[in-house]
Amino acid sequence: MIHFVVYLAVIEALLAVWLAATCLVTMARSAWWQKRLTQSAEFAPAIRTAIADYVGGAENFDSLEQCVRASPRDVADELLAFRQAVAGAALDRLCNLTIELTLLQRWLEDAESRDIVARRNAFRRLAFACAYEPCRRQVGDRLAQALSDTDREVRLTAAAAMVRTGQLADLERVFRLALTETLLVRMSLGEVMRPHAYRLCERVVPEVLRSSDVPGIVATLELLRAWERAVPIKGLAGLMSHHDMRVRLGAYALAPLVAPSPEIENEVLAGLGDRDARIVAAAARAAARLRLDKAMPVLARCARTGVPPLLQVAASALAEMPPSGWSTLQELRFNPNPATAAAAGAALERARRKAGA
Amino acid sequence: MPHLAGFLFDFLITLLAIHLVGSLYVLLRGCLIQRVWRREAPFVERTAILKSPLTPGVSVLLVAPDASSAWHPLVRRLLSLEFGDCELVVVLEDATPDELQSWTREFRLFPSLETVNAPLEIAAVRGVYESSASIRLVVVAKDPGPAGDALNAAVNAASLPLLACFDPESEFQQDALLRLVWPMLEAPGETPALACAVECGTGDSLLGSFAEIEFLRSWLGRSIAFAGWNALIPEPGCAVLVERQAVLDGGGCHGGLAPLFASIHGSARAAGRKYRIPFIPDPVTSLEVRDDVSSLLRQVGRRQASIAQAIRRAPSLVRGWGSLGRWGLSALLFTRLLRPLAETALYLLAIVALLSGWINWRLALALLLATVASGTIISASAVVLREVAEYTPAPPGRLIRLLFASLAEGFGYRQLRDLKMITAFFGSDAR
Repeated sequence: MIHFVVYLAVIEALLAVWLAATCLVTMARSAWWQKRLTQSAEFAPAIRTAIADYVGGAENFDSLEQCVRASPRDVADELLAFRQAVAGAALDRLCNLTIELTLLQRWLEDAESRDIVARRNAFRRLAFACAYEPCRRQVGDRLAQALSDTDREVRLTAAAAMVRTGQLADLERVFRLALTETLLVRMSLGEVMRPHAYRLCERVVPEVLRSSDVPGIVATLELLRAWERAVPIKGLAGLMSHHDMRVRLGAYALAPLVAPSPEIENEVLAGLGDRDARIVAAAARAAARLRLDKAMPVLARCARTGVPPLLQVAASALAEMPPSGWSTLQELRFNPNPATAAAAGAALERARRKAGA
Repeated sequence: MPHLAGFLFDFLITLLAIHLVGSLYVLLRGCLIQRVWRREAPFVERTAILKSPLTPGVSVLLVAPDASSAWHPLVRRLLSLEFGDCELVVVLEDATPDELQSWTREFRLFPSLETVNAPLEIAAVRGVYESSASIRLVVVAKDPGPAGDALNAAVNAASLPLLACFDPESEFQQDALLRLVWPMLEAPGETPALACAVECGTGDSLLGSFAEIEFLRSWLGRSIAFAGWNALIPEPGCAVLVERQAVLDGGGCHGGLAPLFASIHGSARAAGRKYRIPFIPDPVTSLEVRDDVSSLLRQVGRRQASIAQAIRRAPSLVRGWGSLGRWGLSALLFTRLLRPLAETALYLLAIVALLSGWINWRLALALLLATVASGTIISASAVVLREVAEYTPAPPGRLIRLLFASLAEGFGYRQLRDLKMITAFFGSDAR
């Protein structure tokens, strides 16, 4: 027994030595961090005042130069913090400071760093500076190169900065990048690209939709849906009968956002008779959004003979099409099938309440 | 000393040594995973998530522990969660007419024609109510059922593809759902569920530090490291997000959230599907722990009961004990039940041996110090490895406080905690 206690004690002693060493290192790091925070807090008011003076029209930035020599990181942070507060000529002056103080040059060097955190910070700062044309010229095609960076954050930051330039070629590159990224990134980029939706629909969107790249088509349909605005898309009816299910579902979801046409209406009607329940549900939602009166009998049939959750979708679609949809639901409330009666009653009640509110 | 006692001593000490080395390995792995995560975690644009129609809808489920009006403020807070497409489903079990009346008055409820008896089988439903105010609230009043029955009723009533559950005891910010949903958008279809970290709100006292260390150990080990092995089960107090379809595929809930997660893991592993259940290491909810021993031990008991539920349910899961990977459930059983049992048995054996004269007082003291040192090393490692894992270090004062508490918890608190862990594992809440 004594042996076992000694073995345990030896293991613990070794671990304790390792732990003590790590403790010392972390304490030292913590103390250094606190010192840095204190230093930043001391610098910040002076930097803010100097930036405000310069943006306000003062030509002298000697004090800022001193601050840059002492702590370039704090100056960069304060410049970025000012960005939300200024616009127009003041923003141009703010960005111009990055050239005058040679900060832009430092950031361009940091953008080459192998350390991800340093690179991310550099691109965040460059993205801010690129709102100003002379800075854009100095940055050159560094942002475009960053679209193929290994780090997603860097790609996203560079892409958002490129969209802000508003040039069609840049927009198209970012659009194509968005198609290869995750849904989360696509949602962020979609939000930035929304103001340029119409221009993108002129060339790059039709090109992708005509291609055989199924994931690209699905991503494009998602982006178009995310923009939530009427988009001039031709050939959507063809995508509604595409061989890939994901494309079909995306096209049905987009149908209410494009100009109505007999082809689309026919595809929606055909979708309501599809064998796949997901397509029927998507078609029912599209019919409701398009207020397609011709779909009413098929929707009523779905509500009568369907199984949950399809019958609820059909009932909800009818509820969105008053007054004839409502009278159909009123009849369905007394259907012998209890599931149909309950779904019809609930949908009608909800629609009436919504209309009343 | 009799041979049997000597053998028992050796066996128990070996168990403790294995636990010590194993725990440090898990903490170290958690630390490395967290460092990688901090580097690679995306910057989440919450406004885009809030505005986008591509964000799936979330049904927030609340199973009120009782039907009293004490839960109205919580319902109000849940209704104020910021999210695009969101509804709240509240389940009241065994509500009296008066209690139901107070809910009806407070939220302007009226009887709904919706049926919630399927797809999961549940006890008899007394009524389904919706709010006539401009809020999306569904209240299900039902008969009491077995464990998990109320949650199953909420799943039936939910109409949106994602389900969120918040611990009734935790605090959360209005943007909690926005901070929770992004991993599902990173890999849609491959993320059936996720859980987030819970922040421990304590004072700076010694007892508060004990609670903080408890949370740190659990955060780095059971949450981050286990998520790295894709074997995450949620902590009490945290918020979780689950795909409704995954709950239905797993056959519904049979207990709390821990067995539900074990069941989702089991079903996904059995189906050979590519999936992951991630952990969000940034706290989305916070749990206030009072600076008194009973409050601390209550939290220990809650945590232990949720793990015990998952372990008890293991034999009936599709993948049985392999639901959380090869070692997941066995490791939990070892650390949460066998280790406290072994340590308590060692103390008892040492007392008997000392009184019988089998061992002298020096050896008894060495045994006590060895167990205390083992616990201190694990706790202090959790404190230090957190510093290594995170880019932003804690203030030196806090570090010193926690390191001192790591040492102090070995003299009394640790032994009490062990007893609580043993009793909570076999207690009624664990069933």
